[in-house]
Amino acid sequence: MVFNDYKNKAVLVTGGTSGIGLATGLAFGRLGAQVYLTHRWGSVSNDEIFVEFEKQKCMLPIIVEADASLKKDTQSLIDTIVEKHSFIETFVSNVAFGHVSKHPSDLESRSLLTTLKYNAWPILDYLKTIKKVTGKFPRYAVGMSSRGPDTYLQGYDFIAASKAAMEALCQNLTAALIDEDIRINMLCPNTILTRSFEATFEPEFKYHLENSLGKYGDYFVLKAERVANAVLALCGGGMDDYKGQVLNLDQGACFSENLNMAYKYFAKENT
Amino acid sequence: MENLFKNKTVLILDGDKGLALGCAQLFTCLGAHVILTFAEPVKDGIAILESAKLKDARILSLDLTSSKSTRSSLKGVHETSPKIDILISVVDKFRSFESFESFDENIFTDELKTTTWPFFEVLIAIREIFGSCPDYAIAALEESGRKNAGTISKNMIETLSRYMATNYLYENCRVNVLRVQKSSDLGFEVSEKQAAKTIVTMCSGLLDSMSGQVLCLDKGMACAI
Repeated sequence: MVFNDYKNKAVLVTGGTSGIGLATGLAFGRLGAQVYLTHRWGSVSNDEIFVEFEKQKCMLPIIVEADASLKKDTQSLIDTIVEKHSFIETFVSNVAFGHVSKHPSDLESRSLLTTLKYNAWPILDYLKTIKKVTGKFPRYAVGMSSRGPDTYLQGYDFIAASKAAMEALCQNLTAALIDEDIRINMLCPNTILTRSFEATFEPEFKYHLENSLGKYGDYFVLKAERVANAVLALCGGGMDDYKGQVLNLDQGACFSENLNMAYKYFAKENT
Repeated sequence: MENLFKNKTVLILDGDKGLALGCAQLFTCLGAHVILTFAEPVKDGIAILESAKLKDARILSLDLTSSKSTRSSLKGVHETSPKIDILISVVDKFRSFESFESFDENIFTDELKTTTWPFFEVLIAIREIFGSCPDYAIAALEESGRKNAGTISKNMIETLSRYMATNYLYENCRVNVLRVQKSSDLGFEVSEKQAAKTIVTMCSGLLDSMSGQVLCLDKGMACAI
């Protein structure tokens, strides 16, 4: 349920050809929006994405190859959008890429800067470019964070630090743009079994989540479509006074994720 | 969209409050059957509902500080409604303890009984009497702008909400808290209409992956000041 009319409005989703990004694109597509999806590697064929949009009776998306860390790609992308739309209603910054560490000795400042370039700064670059080209900010901007800043995930050091930077950046941008018609918020979803999850964690962990935790595992693992729905909630007009916040999406599972509960669960399982 | 909450029953505590009435109006527009609780006398409640154009809403006379009254009234509701789908509690009137001398355990205990606990009393009673939890339970805390007002009670409500969300994790029950900036000298005041829209959005299904959370509706005030 959204209050706003998205018919023919431009919605930009970076990292939009798979996982959360694609689910978000489809969610806006179902509302009649013209969705722009960006990707860097194009690991899913455009045809497959078009078929999915057609199946759900959505306007076909415009898929653009754009590296979120490159200003020239961002400029070219926004130039492409303004050929058809005078402004961008909603911008979803979903690109996530970074250095996954195998040992603390492989943590180097160069990798940290690269990780920051893909996780934290794109939201700033995109907003600056959108404002410069269209003359106004999107009414809604949503960044995708993760649990990394609040809980230890092995090897996730730089991505977690970059997500923390993005959360603070969004709050600072909210302050700087407090009089503008823009709402910048972050979503912090719990584990989603996307390709990015597979690239970050060992395959056994996925098996464990899906098969060893019973009902709790069903709550712990989140579906991309549920995150997409939360994006709609933030950008649908019902939460227009909600600004500069980080919203955790964990289906209520994370508050009980501690050793005491693990003991109770596995002790019960083993008796 | 007007039928989004068709056949859904929404119970709103302390129906004489502005935000409670705003929520009732919006849920009614979207097809819900709304029940508002009022302390005695009921005739005052009827007048309030009439002036708020809520003639179809049901009034429930309920002393929220009494466990007995709560259970007895909810049993009456259960005779005609098989389920409470949504529970909303608008909480305000927090006391502020400013000087050292003003700290008083009796005042705090009174606030605990009248302000902090009723939301949880009703939630637990619904589970017992109806056999199922509401799909959504929201405590909306109105921020008065007074320094330290209700800090202790609000912290308790937020922590208890996280615990209830976890206690009822497998029962399709989402328990969340919404802090609403009601008063601000700097232009950050959130209107009752916008706060009601946010509450409805939280119950619309779009945020079903959210439970045990505290949301601050403050137009960005926390970032800007």
